[in-house]
Amino acid sequence: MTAHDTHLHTQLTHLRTRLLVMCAEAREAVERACIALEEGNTPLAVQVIDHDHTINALENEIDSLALSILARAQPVARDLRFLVSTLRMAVDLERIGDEAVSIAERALLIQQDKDQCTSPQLRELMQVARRALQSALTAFQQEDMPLALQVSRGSADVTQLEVRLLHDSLPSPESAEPNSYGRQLHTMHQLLVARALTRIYGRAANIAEHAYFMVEGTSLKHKTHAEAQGQ
Amino acid sequence: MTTQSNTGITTKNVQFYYSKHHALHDVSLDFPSNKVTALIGPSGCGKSTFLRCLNRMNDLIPGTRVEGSILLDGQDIYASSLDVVELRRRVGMVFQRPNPFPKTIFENVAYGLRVNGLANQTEIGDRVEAALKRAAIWQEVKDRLDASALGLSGGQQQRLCIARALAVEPEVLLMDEPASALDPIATQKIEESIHELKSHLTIIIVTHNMQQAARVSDYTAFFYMGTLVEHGETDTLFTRPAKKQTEDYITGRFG
Repeated sequence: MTAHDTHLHTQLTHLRTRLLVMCAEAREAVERACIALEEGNTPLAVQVIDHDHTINALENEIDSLALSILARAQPVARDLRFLVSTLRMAVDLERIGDEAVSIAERALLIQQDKDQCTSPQLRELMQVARRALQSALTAFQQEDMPLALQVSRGSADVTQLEVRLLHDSLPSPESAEPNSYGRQLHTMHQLLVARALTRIYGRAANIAEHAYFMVEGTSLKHKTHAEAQGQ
Repeated sequence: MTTQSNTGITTKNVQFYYSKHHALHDVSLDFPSNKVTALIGPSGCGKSTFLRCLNRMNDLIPGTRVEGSILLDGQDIYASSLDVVELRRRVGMVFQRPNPFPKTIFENVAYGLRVNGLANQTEIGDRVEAALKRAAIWQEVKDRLDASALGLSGGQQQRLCIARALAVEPEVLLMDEPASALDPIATQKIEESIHELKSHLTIIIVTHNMQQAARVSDYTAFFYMGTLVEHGETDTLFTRPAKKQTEDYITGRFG
């Protein structure tokens, strides 16, 4: 049997390229939003907000390309799984873009109160979410299934981090520190950033699951680790 | 009216030769009753040859030879004691191009009944009507049963041929690319008929149209160079085939 490229495969390659561009844009948005928050970089935060339309446009473009291929070529097997995964990934990537905007907006607001600094837990959460997103995208790009499984199974750590951050943000009854309006506002911003980061982590886990489905043909959704291993 | 068929076909280590050419290699396959099985593969892969083994149509080609066994409801169809005419009544066939007799619509369907010894005109009339209804063509021809079958469109002729095959109440229906010469509307009607008919029959269909195999069949078997490469549930084979060869073929990556 000799392999050959068809018009369908050229279209699929083009779609994959556009999806990889969207992956890079979403990852870049999260990176910039986190740096803007950590470094108090206002122009970078504004850049993230202004650039979000690019990610939205990519979602529309990918939707349109994928639907056209489905309607005209009726792909099967791996090609079909790639298309289904692509449509799902585009939704997750667009939402990741929105979460990056949300972090950038908080970065601008936190900037107005320069006396308050980012908590260590939030910095840790930032690292975990960024790492998870990078790993999920690598798992998809390189079809690295052990990595996909690892990302899709790590949500407990993130939840613990978020709970710890929430706990540490609340003023203790014994605390002598005045619970000023400014501090309350800062705490609220930090919690909203933490929420956005947790959601980014969740979307990264989804992307890892889509990559797994594309390669293996079986779904990891709503399965325990043991069920996923045994399927 | 025929009730649900319990007849399935089992083939074991089937080899087929056109003189010295070894066309089928060791094909073992089960066709469950009341299910549609699609045979797919590139031209020359042996799928039509295999289909024709199932009602001994290859017997008509000089120099051919079959080895292994093919069991219809547990009975070896190549046994010397078997009545081949009766076999072909039980295992009907529809071909790529519609081939109606140059007779009336009614006589096309009644022909097989008369050949099988039925003489009662009322019963023949009832069975012709039932067959035309099951082939989903009754509404289009009921007012012109005495017209020539050759005046029907290609799609109608093919459904008439299906009715002709159904009239003698076969247990298995073999279809060799039954819609390849038809337009999309006629193709859709044939495919709808297949969905209806499988409650009464075991259907085995050869098709070059992958989407058609995916649409109509419960099971799919992929042949390549005379060998059965993969066989399984159609849902599985078209979403996550086990063999790379199958994946490459159904996704158009070789040919």
